[in-house]
Amino acid sequence: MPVGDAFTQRQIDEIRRALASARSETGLLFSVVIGPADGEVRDHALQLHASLGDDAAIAVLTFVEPEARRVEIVTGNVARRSLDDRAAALASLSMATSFAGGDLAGGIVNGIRMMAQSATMPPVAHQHGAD
Amino acid sequence: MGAGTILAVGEIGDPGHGLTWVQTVLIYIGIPVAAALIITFLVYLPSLIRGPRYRPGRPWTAGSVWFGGSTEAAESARAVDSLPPATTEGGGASARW
Repeated sequence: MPVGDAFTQRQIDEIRRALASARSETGLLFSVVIGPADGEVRDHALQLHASLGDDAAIAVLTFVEPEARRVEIVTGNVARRSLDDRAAALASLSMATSFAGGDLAGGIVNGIRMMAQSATMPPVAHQHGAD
Repeated sequence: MGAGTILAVGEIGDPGHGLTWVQTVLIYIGIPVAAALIITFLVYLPSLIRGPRYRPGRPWTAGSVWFGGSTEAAESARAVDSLPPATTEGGGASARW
């Protein structure tokens, strides 16, 4: 596998670690695909997500297309309950900013951390004054 | 004072022998080349340590990688012919750079 062409071993380890801790913190199946898309980028990301089979419901798939300069996040129907589209949009913007600066690994690691953090935060309860 | 030695006005002492051709080559060619090589090495050192780097707009030659997935990404995507509800009823986001 030509992973080494794009990332150093240290970066690979960092990405794997970020994914592992995101999984254990949230119970969601985080994964990242980097590479060229067959056809439309969003469609390809959806197909990748669907290929996870039974795990798709709890999967959060990040697809990075370095040539088309696109990042797509796909959340399963169960995963979406804890990681809403706004949190995903925020993470995707943060990643795109890092990627534009040439930092693929750093952007991926930070994006995963952001998503894990917002997925672990409990839903905001209404607070009635601190008395 | 030796008969063959010529001294500049006010200069004192023995100027010694001239440089041999080996010394001349070492000093005037060897040292500059060595300095240039050292500087070149120092310039490229950071990128040698950092490794390959992604540059936006350049072609992507590294193929596809799936972190956290056990299968080959391109093949698994191709094998899917219809999207299950788990995917279509999900959400997500996208961004470009």
